Amino acid sequence: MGSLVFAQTKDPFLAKPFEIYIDGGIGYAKNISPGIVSSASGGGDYTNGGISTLVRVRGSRNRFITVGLESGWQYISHLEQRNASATGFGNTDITASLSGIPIMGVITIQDYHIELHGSVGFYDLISHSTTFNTSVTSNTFDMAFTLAAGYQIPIGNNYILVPEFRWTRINDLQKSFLTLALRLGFPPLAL
Amino acid sequence: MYSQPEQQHILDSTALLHFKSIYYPENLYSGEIAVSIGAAITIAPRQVVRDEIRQIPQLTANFRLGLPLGFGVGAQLAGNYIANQLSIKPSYSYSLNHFSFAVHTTPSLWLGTADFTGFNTLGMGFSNAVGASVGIHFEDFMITLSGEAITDYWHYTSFAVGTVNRRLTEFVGNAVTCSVEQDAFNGARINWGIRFNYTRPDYQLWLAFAETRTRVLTPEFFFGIIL
Amino acid sequence: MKVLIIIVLCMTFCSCVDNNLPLPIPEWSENVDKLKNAVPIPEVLLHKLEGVYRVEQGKGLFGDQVVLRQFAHKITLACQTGTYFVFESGFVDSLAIFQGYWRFDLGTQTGLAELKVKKDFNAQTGDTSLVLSGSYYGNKGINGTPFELKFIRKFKDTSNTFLILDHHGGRNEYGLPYSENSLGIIPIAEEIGANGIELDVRLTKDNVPILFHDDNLSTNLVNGEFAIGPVNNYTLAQLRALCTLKDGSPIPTLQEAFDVILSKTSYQSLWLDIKTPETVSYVLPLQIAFLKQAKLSGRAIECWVGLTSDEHITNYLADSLHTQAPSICELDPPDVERAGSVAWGPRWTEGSLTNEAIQIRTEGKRVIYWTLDKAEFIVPFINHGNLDGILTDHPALVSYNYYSRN
Repeated sequence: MGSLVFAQTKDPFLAKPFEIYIDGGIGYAKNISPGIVSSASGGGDYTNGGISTLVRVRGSRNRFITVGLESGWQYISHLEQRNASATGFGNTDITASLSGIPIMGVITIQDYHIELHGSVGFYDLISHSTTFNTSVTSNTFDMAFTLAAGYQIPIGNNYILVPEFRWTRINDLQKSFLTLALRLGFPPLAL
Repeated sequence: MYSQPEQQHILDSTALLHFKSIYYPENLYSGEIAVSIGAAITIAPRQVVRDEIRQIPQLTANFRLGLPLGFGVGAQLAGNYIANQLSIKPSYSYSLNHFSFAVHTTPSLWLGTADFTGFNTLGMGFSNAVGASVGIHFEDFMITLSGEAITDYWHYTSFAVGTVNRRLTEFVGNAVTCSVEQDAFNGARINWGIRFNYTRPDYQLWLAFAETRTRVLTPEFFFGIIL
Repeated sequence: MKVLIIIVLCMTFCSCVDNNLPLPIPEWSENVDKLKNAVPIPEVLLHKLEGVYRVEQGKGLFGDQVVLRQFAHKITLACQTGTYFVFESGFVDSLAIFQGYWRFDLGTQTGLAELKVKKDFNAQTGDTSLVLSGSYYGNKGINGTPFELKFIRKFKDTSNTFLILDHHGGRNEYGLPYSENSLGIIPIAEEIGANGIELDVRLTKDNVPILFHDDNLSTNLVNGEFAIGPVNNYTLAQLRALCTLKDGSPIPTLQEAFDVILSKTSYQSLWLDIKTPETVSYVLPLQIAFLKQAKLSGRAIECWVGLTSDEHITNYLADSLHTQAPSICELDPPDVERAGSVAWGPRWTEGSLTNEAIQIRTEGKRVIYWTLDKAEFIVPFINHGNLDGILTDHPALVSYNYYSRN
């Protein structure tokens, strides 16, 4: 209840300047979707998942419910394939990577140091591939959803450290990730 | 840290305030009216519309009237000319501290018209969504989760001189809505949220004339200002 | 705990869904394949089975009556509900045996089926003694359900000139046996009632006309996660290295599709839906070469390049080859005149446009409505009569509604 009490800001008696809280995190995302087809011929040295970074901006760290925005960068997959088949064109080496930049709205519920986040928005998916010694960079926007849970560990001077567990679904890409991340919450930024 | 009087003041003022709400199940006072205006947009599922239809946001107006004994009635007008809908939502609600519950039924009449290049088409239909909501109220936030089962009762489509009536009563799918009502700026209240329709292609996609029997996920985002 | 289990199940479900994978055609295993030593039934004899039949047993998924049509050594049953059967045929002793499969065209139900009839069959109007009987099986194919058809009448129109054009093989989400716009689906569409096909054509980065519907690559149409964004960001070689269609086959070129149409089908019409105006000038030489090759091989087939915008028409008329390349115009009748098109393709959602359709037809041009997929919309268009064909995702449904007319 404590956090609810201290969160009350409607009353002019306790009015405070508007503040935003910025969190930054890094973690590892593991793909859990089955049946991924990496390239036309399949196979190769395929890495599915990787480093995931997150920046989350929200209105308060103390209120029971807050809303905010999150972004970042996620390494989705990488392929190194020698002598991959390309029907009608013989074989080629493939080097390809896929990453995503989330642009999401997030709602956070927090109490007793536990945070629950739900977010919805888009991933700007960026593919960079090299085949037949020619590179292509291409992108597309894809709807995405995230559910996350974390535990706040105060580390003094308004900093917090939050181990966070996150499930992400990127809709059209048909990929789901489980991410384990460590987030650092910075002191509020008064506006 | 706040002093003891400050904390007492806070505790007093933390007692749940009554807000006019559109989605939160707790009933309005008898005779009280809440109105909100806003917009909603449905994300068209790619497997239905491919890249041939761009969804146009709908303007929305929501009304809610509190009635005695926990009853209430809501109404929604949503439209963008191509797809327009009028819904009436009678409900019964019960509240317990921070929580509130409601059961409701939402009969809806929709009307769509397209008279631009390639179309001379008019469609209308009638459906009903029966559901229940649970809400939680903390501080100025009211979060509501609703589940609904949707049944189509009839469709009517005309294309120039040809007219087709379909009077089928069939269960077409479910919808889950998560809405948030909160303070925004200068004391104004806003509502926003997402509705996941898991149904046969819904009325907002009527121009796709999709005949797929499988249900598809069509998320709808909405936002409004409570007047 | 229950909530946690539900959440985990939902997350797992969301992690697995892919609605667009092909649904293979069920096949008879060798030990129950009655046709492996059968004597082929001559096409001319098989043709005598054509007509409208009443479903005496096994109505459920198939409705009250079916339309039976012959195609090469196969017969196809088109049902009231959109379900269809495709049977191979052969004589075994004193019986004509038909073995094949059925498929519900609006869902994913499919299974095996077999029918038999006495060898000396001949369907004649008024003769209701002709009965085909057999069984159909569910997806598991263990216990058969009795299925019996009784002949009612011959078709009103036996000319096979009404065009039923298949819309690029259907749509992946309907559980097709092969991907839409693939080489595999082209002959299949003919088996289920189409006598023409529409294919979507767009350009790769290196200006190769390929079959592909959408502007963008997506998991609806391709496998291969590194191929994303606009199709024309990639050369054909890059596309072939990075992705396949949902059935695992490479994205086909228009030239490859032409080869399949000439070698594996007997289509009467081919409609090339040109997705971008700049594609027009790359398609015309291929189209003309295809028509010449068809003529040389004695094949009567029309091939139209689709004009869907003013820009398409401008590019078409600016190309000196356009006089040899027939077109179908989807715009208004004056645009059909301007482009010198041989056919008009109005969108059905504009209505029947009866006066315009009559006028166009009096000029000797074809009128083909697109894309009609529901029986309740197909029937009024067939009944108004001022049309030469229908483009559809469900040729069996159009076939049923056209040929079952009394």
